[in-house]
This record gives sequence, C-alpha cells and structure tokens, in this order.
Amino acid sequence: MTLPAHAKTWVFEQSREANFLNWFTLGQDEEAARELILSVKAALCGHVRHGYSGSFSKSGSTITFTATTQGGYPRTAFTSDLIGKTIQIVGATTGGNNGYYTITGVTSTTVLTYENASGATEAFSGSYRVLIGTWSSLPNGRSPWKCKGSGAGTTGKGSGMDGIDRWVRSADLQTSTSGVGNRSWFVAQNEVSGAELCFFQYTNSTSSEFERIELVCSPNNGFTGGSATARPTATDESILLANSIDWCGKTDVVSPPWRIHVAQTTDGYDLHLWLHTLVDETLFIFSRIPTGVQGDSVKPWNGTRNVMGARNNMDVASWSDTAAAYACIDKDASAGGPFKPAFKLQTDLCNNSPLPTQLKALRNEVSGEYQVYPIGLFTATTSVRGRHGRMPDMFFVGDGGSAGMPMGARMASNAWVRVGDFLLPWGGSYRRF
Amino acid sequence: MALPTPQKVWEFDTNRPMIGATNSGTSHGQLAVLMKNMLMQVVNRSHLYAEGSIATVSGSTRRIDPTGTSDTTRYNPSQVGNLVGKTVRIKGSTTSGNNGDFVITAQSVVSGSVYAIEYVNASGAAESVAGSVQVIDYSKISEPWILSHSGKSSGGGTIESGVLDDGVDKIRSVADYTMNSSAWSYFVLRNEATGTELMMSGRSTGSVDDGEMMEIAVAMSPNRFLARSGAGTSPAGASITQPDGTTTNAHVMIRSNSVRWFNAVDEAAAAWSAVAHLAMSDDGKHTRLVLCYNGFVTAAFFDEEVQDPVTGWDDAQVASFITAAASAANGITIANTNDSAHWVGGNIARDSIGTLYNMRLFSTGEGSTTSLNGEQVAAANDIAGEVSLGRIGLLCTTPSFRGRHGLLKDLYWGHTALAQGNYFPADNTKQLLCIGAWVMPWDGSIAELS
Repeated sequence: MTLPAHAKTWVFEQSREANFLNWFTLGQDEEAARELILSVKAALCGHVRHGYSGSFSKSGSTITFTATTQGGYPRTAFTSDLIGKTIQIVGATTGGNNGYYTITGVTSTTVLTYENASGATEAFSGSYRVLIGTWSSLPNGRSPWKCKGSGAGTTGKGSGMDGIDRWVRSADLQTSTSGVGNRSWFVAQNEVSGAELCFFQYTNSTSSEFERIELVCSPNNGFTGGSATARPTATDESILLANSIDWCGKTDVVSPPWRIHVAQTTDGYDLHLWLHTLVDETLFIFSRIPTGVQGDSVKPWNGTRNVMGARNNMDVASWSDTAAAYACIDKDASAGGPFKPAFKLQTDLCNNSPLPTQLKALRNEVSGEYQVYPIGLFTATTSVRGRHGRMPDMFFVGDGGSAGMPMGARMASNAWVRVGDFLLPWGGSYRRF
Repeated sequence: MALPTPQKVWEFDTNRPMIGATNSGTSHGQLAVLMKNMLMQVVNRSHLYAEGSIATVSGSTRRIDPTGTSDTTRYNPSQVGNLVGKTVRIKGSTTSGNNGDFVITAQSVVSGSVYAIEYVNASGAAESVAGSVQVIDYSKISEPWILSHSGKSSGGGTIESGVLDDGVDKIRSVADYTMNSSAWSYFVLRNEATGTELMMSGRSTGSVDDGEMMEIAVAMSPNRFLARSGAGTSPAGASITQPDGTTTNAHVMIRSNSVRWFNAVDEAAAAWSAVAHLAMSDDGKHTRLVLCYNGFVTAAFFDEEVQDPVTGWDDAQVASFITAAASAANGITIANTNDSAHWVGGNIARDSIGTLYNMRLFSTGEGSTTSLNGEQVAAANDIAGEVSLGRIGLLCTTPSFRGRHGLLKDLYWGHTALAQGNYFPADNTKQLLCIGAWVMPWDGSIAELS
C-alpha cells in the first residue's frame, strides 16, 4: 500500500540521548537504571533542565532564581541557550511565584532571571523545570505532560500530589524489596487528556534492583494518595509494566548511548515514547485516542477514551499475544464499573499467527508496496468484550526479527519510521537511533 | 450491528434439496449432480441426453418429444412446472443448426402425461437427439455457469469421452455419474464471467463407499481443463512451469480422492439428504454454493472476484471448495477455514520472477494471539451490543510472491457462538445470514440446513 497521510499532526523530540551523568562515574547497573528513568521522565514531560529547592530574589518585576539541586538534560547547569525558554515554578510558598515564565537571562550555572511582577523574595523548596522550546504548536506551547505529584522516599524531599517534582538526581530514587520500606514514585499527568502514568520504584526481587519498576496507568480517573512507602492509587489503574521484570530490558548488559524519541499530537492527546539501545528497542509507552470505536453512537465510553500501553519491546508477537494496553470504560450507571479492558493489539491473522510474523518481508513481494497492517483494539475482559476501535497513526510491519529493512529505517520521505515491528509517524529528519 | 452496504447485487437460488435421497450407494453422486444442475440453473428433471427427438411442428417451430425415453414426464408441467419462457439449450446435435439456446414457447401434450417443449429455430432440422438438451431457468440467476465438457464411464452406459467445449452434458441423471476407482464419469463447468472452471469426477478410492471420496478441482482463468481422453481418467490442465522451475498442472485438485469430500457422511449408511443454497452476483463474478447437512454447512464452493487486489494481479479471482472436518457432527468452522490455505488464486505475475500459477491463499481476519476475534470472544460487543463482522483478507506465503493480496467482498467472519442460520438484522428481513464460518448476504428466506 501507499503509506497514508498522518491522521493527526505530530510534533517530535527525536533522538534525545539519555543522561548517564553518574553512570560513568559509578559504573553501576542500578545507577544506570535510575538515570534512565529520570531521562524518560524528562523526555515525557518535555523539559531540558529540572531541579528542586533554591531561592527567589525580586527586584522590580524581575525575579532572580538561584537553584540549589539541579538535574536535567542534556546537562544540569543553566546555560545561555535557555534564554527565551519557559521555566515552570511549582510549590513556592508565595503563590505568585508559581507559574510559567520566559527566561530573560542566565547569570551563572545556578542563577537565571525572568519577569514576574507577582513574585516575591523567599526561600524555595518546590521544583522547577525548563521546557524544551520547540513545541509551540502543542496546547499552551508545551508538553501536555507534567508532574502531578511525586515522592522521594526518605531523601528529605517528602512526597505529595502537589505538582512538585522531587525526582532530580538518581539519589532521589529509593527502592526496596517485597513491598516494604521506602520507595519513590512519580505521577505524570496529561493536562489535556487527563491520562496519568505512575512510575514506582518497587521491586519484588530479594535485592534492591533499580532495573525493576512498576509502571501504572490511570486512563481517566487519576491517582490519589501516595507516601514515602506507598505509591498513589487510582480506581481505574492498570499495571503496564510489572515489577517482576527488568524494565527497559537488561540494563546491566547494555551500554549507552540510549536514545529516547517522543512524539505528541498537536491536540495534546496522543503520545508515543520509545527507547533505543544500540541494538534494540527496550521501551514503548503510548497514550492514544482510538478511532472508529464501535458503538460511538450507542453507548460511548465515558471520559476521554485514553488507551494507554507499555512494554519492554516493540515486537508484534508480544503486543498481539498479551494484553498490554488499558482503558477505563463506564458503560452506564447500572452496569457497574469502571471497567478496565485489557487490550491486545490485534491485526490481520491466519494460520495461528499475525501476518507481520508470517510474512516478515517489509514489502508486498508482488507489488513492491509497503505491507503495513492496521492495528485494532480487542479485549476479552468481561463486560466490555469486543473490538473497540483502531489505533490511528500506528501500524504493524513485517517482523523485525528477520530479513527486511534494518531496524529504525525511515520510510516514505521520513514521514514514517519503522521501529521494531511498528510503523510510527516520524519527524521528517534523519536522526540517530 | 450496522449492516454493511453490499458491494455487489446478489441473486439467489436457495433451499434446493437433494433429489431422491437414498442410501443406495449413489447419494454422493446425487449431490454432485445437484451442484452441477444448480450452478447451471438447469430445471430439475428437465434434462435429456441422446434420447427423444427433434421434430418440426410448423414453419420454424420445433418440438422436442421425449416419447420412448426413460422419463417421458420430464416436460410435464405437473412434474417440472411451467417451462414456457425458459431457455432450452441443445448441444451435440448432428445437424449443427439444431444447436443453440432457444426460448421455450409452449409445453404441448403429446399423449397422456407425455409433454413436449416447443421453440422457434429456423435453422433446425428434424432428427433424433444425439447430444444433450437442458432447460435453463434464468429467472433467479442471470449469469449461471455453463457446461464445458463431460465424460461418461461405462457404469453409466455407453462410454462417452469428453470433447473440449462441446457443451454436451452426458450426466443426465445420477446413474450417468459413475463413481468408481477404475471407471468414472466427470463434468467440467465454466463460469464465463470469470473464466473459472470447476471439475468434479467420480473417481473414488475403495470399492465399498464409492462417492465419499471423489476428485474436485478448479482451474483459474486463463488456465483450463483439457478434455478426458477416454474412460477412467479425469481431465487435467496442461503442464505449466512455475517460476521456481518445477512443473504443475494448470488445475488444482482441491479435494483428492483420498479424502472425504462431504464430511464423514457415510455413503452406505441410512438414507440422508442435503440442501443447497446458491448465491451469485448479477455480473457472475461471485458464486457461492453452500451444501448443508444435519444442521451444518458441510461443504461450500466459492468463486470470488477479489476486492482491491495488489498491483500486479490482473483479473484477480479466487476459488475454493471448503469442507468440514471429518466428523458428521461438525460443520465448517472459522478455525478450519482460517488455518489452511484453502483458496486458489488466478495467475499472478511479478517482474523479473515470472508468473505464479495456482497461487494458494489463506483467508485472514482480525485477531490476536493465535485466533480471530470471533474465536476468542464468542459474543457480541459488550459496549455496543452489536455483533462484529470481520473482513476477510487473502494472504499468500509462497516465497517470492508473499503478501496480503486483497479482500473478499460481501463475506465476513462472525463469531463462534453464532448459530447456523442466524439472521441479521433483528427485524426479520434476513439480509445477512450466518452460515458455515461466514456471514453473507441473504435473500430473506428461512435457510434450511438439512
């Protein structure tokens, strides 16, 4: 087939290199895992610097902000290229200090200035983030994903669903074994769709392994609660990545660079985020709005119809064989619920396996055209069984584990990229995988 | 369920029973003859072969008189209904001017219950019938199949070899369709709209249950069956060289004589009967002949124009003869049609590789893990309360020709809990029918399944 036009307009943050500031120093697998999750969080929320605590000094309407604990991508220090970008302040004692402001100057590696007539001079124990500057077409000109709340175990930063990002450095991430002890968590919220993701440092291993986290989604209702020892919960939550497996694959055998790719639709609803090592894809997270939902005019889903999924791979067999995406459906007041359908990504199938697995080739051998397979959402979850729409701008292609184009190949004027067994919108430029 | 808009205009001939159900050892032959006559829309009992006579009534008006034949009532209105306006097809007459299609103008009494049919043919001549006479009813199906050629073995009387395209139907009755391991009859039907040919031969294995196993084959246009050279052979296509250098026949044996073609229905068991349903598009591009037994669809023949064929597949057409698993209690299921490459496609060409003949294709559908959606959840969509109908794709896995090459029109997957004979929508108009593994357009009648 001729590759279709994108169903939505996408913007991209491509080939973002994961930050391993401490990994090289410490050479520890667990440290690498912690740095990696911080990089994923930063890519998801669309910021290039972040930090916690400091002070505000006001002169006229100009605020001079001095940071105490700095984190970020590609580096932690303030640099002059931040001028013109947006800084978000969260958790200041004086409410007028909180908000989004355009950086007007960088005085040193820890000091920057911006205009805020409502601000005040005071010490700061909240968090800040400096946003990437290329997403002006998104709602509010920034990533729709932001920190809804966080917990840093007993590192002194506390916890709360207060918008403060306590995940600055790897030391802020605490974990423990078998469901006891101090553990860190972070809730990212899409302020447009209401979808939420909770990253929870929690391993069920007998040792503290940061390679294992729990990634939980709340498609509609939202997370509440959370403490130094427990993550927040949501009435519609589903676990996307279990704490029984290594997230992002085996971090102890893979060396940097790791590259993160983020794509967002300009309406703010849809997200693709995936992670490459040198040899494979080790993480794929999406939050999507399906189209063609059966029953649109009869008994529609309540809420925003977010469908959220994550896996440590981008293999068709994995996504097709096991439920890996979830939604929240309230059919009607009398039906109970909310129901949490566990979706498999379905596609054309025969002879006991999906066509992308059988064909392997990227192109139809007769016509030479790309052989891509639309992806539907199918669930066997009681009370919400059935096929409930398709995933726009997402296709399967021939099994990446066999002959065909190399992994990460760009297709059709770079409008699409083959990544693993998926075909996803791409930003039109050549970037590294 | 929102009913899909039909892509074709459909015509139907439904609920046609197997004539003379019996356990005499010929029931499978009866079914084969029913299929033949139904595809050609030959009126039951109206057929005559090498019997009777053509006489002149007056001027150009001719009459076919069955006096002295084995079935003198074959044109009696009380036996075969009103034949006026229907078409009589004469093939193989010694006087070539007698051959052709003519509109019947009258059913006239010869004597007692013996009736003749009359028609106008200025070119004809009086003589004994040396070929075949068929009365064809176009009122239901406007583009029925034709008979290309046929051959009759000694078991049905005089041995008659087939002659390519002579159109002479030697299988007048079940007795002419000999089913045996050493001598057998055959017929080749042709769909002129698609070029597809269907061959059925009574070649069987074993001597007790003759007919349970027979040869059924198709040849996809432009491939053709050649005429049988003598008694005891089945027609085959020419030898063709495939792109990989191997050779194959221009036809595909869909059911060989080593496997049962109609489930496990025992030829020698107690009397049994079947009912057939035929649906064709008005342009002849689609044919669906469904055979039902014991409440299930036991066999089905398809000849289908492909929707959205891949570039490079010209005149894309597929055919299939699908049978149920070998159990009399089972009908055709989604599993046994989705898991095997049941479909045969017409020739497909690829630059620099060549032409692949007799492409084999799987029928695909939406699914995950190892099964289609309708197998995983045998229920309507819980949110919409509607049954999901799945489109059927066509997949070729032959090296160098791999790909999903098109879709089937107006044919859908249902789910496994849909009872045979379920109708859609719920308003009793019966526009779609669940039959076998499929959901397809229907004519509003109550479908008999046994």
